[in-house]
Amino acid sequence: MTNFKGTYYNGTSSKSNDVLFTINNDNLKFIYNSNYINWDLNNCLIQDNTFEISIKFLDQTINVKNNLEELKGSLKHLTDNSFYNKILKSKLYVHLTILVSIIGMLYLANQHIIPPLAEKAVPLIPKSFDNTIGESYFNDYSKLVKIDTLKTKTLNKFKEQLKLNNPEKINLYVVTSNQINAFCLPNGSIIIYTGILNIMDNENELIALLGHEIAHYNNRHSIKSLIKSTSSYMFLSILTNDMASITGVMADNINMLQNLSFSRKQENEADTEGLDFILKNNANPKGMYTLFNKLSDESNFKISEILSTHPDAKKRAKKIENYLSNNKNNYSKNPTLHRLFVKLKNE
Amino acid sequence: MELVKQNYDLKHIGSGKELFKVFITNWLLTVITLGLYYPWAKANTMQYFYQKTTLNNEAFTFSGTGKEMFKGFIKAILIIGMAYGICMFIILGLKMQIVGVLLLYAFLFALLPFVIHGTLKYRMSRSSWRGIRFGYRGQLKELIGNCLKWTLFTILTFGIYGVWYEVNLRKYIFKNIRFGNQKFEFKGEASKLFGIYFIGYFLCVFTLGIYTFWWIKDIFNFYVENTKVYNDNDEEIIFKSSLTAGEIFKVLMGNIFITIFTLGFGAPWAITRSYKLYISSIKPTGNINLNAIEQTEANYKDATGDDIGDLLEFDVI
Repeated sequence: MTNFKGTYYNGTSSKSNDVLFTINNDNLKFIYNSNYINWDLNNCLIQDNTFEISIKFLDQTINVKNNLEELKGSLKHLTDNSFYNKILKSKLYVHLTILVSIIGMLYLANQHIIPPLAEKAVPLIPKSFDNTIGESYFNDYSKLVKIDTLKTKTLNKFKEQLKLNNPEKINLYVVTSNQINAFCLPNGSIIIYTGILNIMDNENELIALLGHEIAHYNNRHSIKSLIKSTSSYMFLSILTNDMASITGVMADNINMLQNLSFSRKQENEADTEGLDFILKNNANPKGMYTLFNKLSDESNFKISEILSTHPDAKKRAKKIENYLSNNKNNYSKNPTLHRLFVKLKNE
Repeated sequence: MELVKQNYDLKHIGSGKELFKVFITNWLLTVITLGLYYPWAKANTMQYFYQKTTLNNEAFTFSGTGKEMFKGFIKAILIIGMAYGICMFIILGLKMQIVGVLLLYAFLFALLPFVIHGTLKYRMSRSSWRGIRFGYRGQLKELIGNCLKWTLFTILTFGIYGVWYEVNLRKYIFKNIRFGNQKFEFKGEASKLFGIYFIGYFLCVFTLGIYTFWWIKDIFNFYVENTKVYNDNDEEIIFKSSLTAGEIFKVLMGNIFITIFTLGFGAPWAITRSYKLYISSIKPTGNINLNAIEQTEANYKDATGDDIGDLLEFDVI
């Protein structure tokens, strides 16, 4: 039985007392103030602080700085063997390996697991949520831009001539701006800038654009993107211990709408459905092709914000081109649509 | 009682490597548990910093546990969640946006005294040295009243009173902190701090930032040298600062390089360097007998205030 030397604090004063203690069968014994004191080590808190071992019983403490190896041997089965301590004590290279592995896994999870999971969650969200988000955004947005009321009226008349799945949900707005852009809000409001109307030459291009945007609405792409990036952000926040961000991310939601870019998959979906829309309305699908070509035209680059969120315009134009060369289309010129388009351009 | 003047030795003995291991281990366990481990990670980190800070070569102890903090977090999340939910309902459901946002801000402001009070009560009672606990004896009602008053003044003076708010708050807190039967006092004058901020700001601008290191030193010295520990036997410890602008420059510049060139993963080394510098620059001196401190403070188990502060990123002391 070894005598260990330690410093004892009795928990009522900070006075340090040198004591000699022994350890036998998980019992720690020492003498203090002429009294024999016996601690059951199973009821003690034992901390290994590298240069010192601290044994605590209620408010009392014994700190040991000498003979640590032997003491550790006697206390081995009692010291804190939590995962935390086991991993903490391992060598540096283990920690470096852990670091690299975690980063790798997070990256993979964020790219391949979170997005599909998030997308699966979307059907659980009621469409009223889409409407609320879209309306709320539009309320703020419409105060910041100039809506061309005449063109808006004409454009909606144009819409009424088209075959839509849910015409009452789609509201079109024309905003005065040089920007070549158009986007769709989750509540079915579609905003079209005069910039993009100006580069159009015929109603088929407009129908192509509308079909594309309506497809985004029908497939709830905005909400899907929103949920995906929110869950991605929350996932990373949780795992980088950034708890405050979780409470903060909810406040950021609504502002993200216009900056959301749809994934390539979503854009392809919108293109495919957009094409169906064109055909359903007996319009000329060549309009989609010419529109894409115009969008990918470098001279439009600077003012084309739509290009930054739609980087594959050239590729998509090619896709349509392939379709066109392989399919004979029956389309008829609709005089009403044509008339309304001309009116729209000249108002 | 002999009144022997002595110098006390305050040190941080941790290392960047050890802190790195603490961070990585915590991170691994947090990732595996999808975030649930966070309260335990926080307790681990605090225990590390306490253990690596020594007074006369004896370490401080943090006896808070992940379990206590976890309970606090659940409560904190519920409280914040409810408040947030109510405000969101008002904003989106009732469409009263301004009312909703104002309510949210009011709620956050009102929460501050609770956070300060709760955090201090919990952390102080969980802090000890040689087995003697710290404690916080402030009254929540008093603090709420004070915060309301000071907030009002701050708004009315377009923020200038903010400096007085901070100093007043510090004075109040220190008045109510105990280390066993030892008391604390903060005797800094807000006007002096205001001067340091005001003049310091302009000097930094005029010297294109070079004055920053002296500015940091001035602020540090203001806090350190105006802190005092005393007791009913008329004994006291005052704190002198040995911090120099040169040392600050070395540490901060080094930290910037370390952090940037390791893409942030060298942060533990940077943090440790800072801690070592600041703590070793505090030179306590006085005649309090470190063998004669008595246990007077109670155990306080509720970590909710601490965890609300954590979620909202309020920082206390």
